Amino acid sequence: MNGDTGAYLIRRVLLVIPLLIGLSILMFGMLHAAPGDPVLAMLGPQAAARPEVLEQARANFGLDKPLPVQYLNWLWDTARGDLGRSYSFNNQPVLDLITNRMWGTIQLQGISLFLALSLAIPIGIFSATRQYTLPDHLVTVGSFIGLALPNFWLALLLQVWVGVQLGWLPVLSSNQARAEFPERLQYFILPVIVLALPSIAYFARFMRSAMLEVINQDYVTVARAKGLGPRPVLYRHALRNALIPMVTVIGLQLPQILSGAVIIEQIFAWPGLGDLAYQAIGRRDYPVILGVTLFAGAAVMIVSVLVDLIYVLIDPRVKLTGSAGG
Amino acid sequence: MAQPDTTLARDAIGPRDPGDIGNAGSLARAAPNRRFQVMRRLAQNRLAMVGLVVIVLLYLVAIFAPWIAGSDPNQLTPGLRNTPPSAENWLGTDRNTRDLWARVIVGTRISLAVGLAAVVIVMTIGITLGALAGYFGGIVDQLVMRTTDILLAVPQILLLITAAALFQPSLQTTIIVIGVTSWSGTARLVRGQFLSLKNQEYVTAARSIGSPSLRIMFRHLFPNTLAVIIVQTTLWLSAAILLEASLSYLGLGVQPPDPSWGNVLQDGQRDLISGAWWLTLFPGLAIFITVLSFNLVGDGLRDAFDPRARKR
Repeated sequence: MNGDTGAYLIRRVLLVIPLLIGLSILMFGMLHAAPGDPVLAMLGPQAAARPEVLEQARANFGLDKPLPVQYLNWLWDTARGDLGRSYSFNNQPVLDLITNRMWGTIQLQGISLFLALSLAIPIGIFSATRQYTLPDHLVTVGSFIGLALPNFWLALLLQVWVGVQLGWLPVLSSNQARAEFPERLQYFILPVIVLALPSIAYFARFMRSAMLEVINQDYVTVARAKGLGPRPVLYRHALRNALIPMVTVIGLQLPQILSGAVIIEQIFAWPGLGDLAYQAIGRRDYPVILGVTLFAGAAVMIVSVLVDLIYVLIDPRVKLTGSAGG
Repeated sequence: MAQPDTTLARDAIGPRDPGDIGNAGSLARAAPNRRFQVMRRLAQNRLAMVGLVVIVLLYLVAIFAPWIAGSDPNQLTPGLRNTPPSAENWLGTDRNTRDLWARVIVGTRISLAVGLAAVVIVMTIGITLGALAGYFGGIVDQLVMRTTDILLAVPQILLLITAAALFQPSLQTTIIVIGVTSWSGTARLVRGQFLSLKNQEYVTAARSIGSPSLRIMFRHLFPNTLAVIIVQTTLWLSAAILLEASLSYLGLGVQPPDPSWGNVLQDGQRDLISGAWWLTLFPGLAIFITVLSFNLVGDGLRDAFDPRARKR
């Protein structure tokens, strides 16, 4: 890692904070520009008849102050690690809600990602080494299909077919927290399949083209010419280099993966961040919406810096310079 | 997985052959030959051609929807509650005794129209901001790029459902929220193109004879980004249709009684457990086929524009 690269990475890390502030301003603006009253949503329509109750509630949550003051108050609290209290969800601190729900999402997505990569990388290699044969064409067609399947549709069909008709697996996951280790796994199977399928398709296709590009490089030809067998060429020379761009792609997929979580957690009643966000939006629970969005944004930005760092560490050719993130 | 894979799309905008740029090879004017070659290469791609035929058929269905549907999608027929597909009701009926065929066909019109309108917004914002950022650089570039950083860091569905829920879900809201949250990738690609082209000799030449910026951007730079824009448009049509379906499925998109594939599916899935599989299967199949076709064509176009990527 040379000086330029180090400076670049430091700039990237420092950029995360203004970007998160930008994101919070965007969300804050959007939440408050929207018609509708969170206090009314909180107290129910009958409270509309009693303006003094509404005023009181507004003052309690600081909603009576001018918008910039509200924002700065929120920012000051957030900077000290206090994301405020939820309007609904028993007025729990937002940070507690997020940390409670976080593990559900991390477990589900982690398993899905691991499964997707452990299938997609071999499939991609298999496909690339048999370019333009029938199996390769099947992989291509299969990955197009995997990417076009609406995830909610697949989830519903699997729930009814595997869950209800065959009765093999639970349909909803609301009870999973109470289940013990081996039984608990069965709650994972359907959501993991639904989440992993498009990722398998995407990563396999990317792995295939990364592999094909590397196979055509001179150093692979040289390795072959000096009499190295096909397997060592493939695994020692080609695969290592083909895996490098995969790191970037996995990082870039994170927002997509989190997007999938919102809908899929909702369908399977999975206790995670996506489900929390969906419910918070329905209840106009501003602090929770802001908290979850910021949390997701921070996760994505940090992962993208880490991806850059890993990239530098595994690929000595890479030098990162220029304007950060540009 | 709604976002089109812009990572792979980058293949299409890698630096072209120097000769290509040197003769100011604008796709639109100077190179009828090249345009022909692109079309010929696309025609040789069987999967892409299948996709193209399906897309043409889908738009024909959308245009002639009222005739193809055969009846009003909201017409009630007492006694035909949740009946399976039959000779009279090809795709069956729903819990409100409406004909599913009519709803899916008219839904084609609504879903494709929402997709198209959203993509017009995506491309307008994406191309304009990308071009400005790439051409002028400096503070404009910083502003645009940092905004894309922010938009790309948040899961898009989260932004969509927040915006849609807060600003009354409707057909118009759906179009607007998809449009204003989806332009980042396109803006970055267009910016990259402008950035790499603006210091080419022919652009410097144009500037030296006093061509105004706007003219340079429109006449000299924009035509060279068309390949990227065409591919992006195709891939975003697929993505926007999928996003609309997801939003409508969550009840935050196109509102009933207007049928869109997403809300027909949402309405029908309540009866899935009691055995009315057709109400979930068919609208989902329509989404799947449409998204698949657009992806096939988008991918084929990318390969046709950049044959060097094809051999990989």
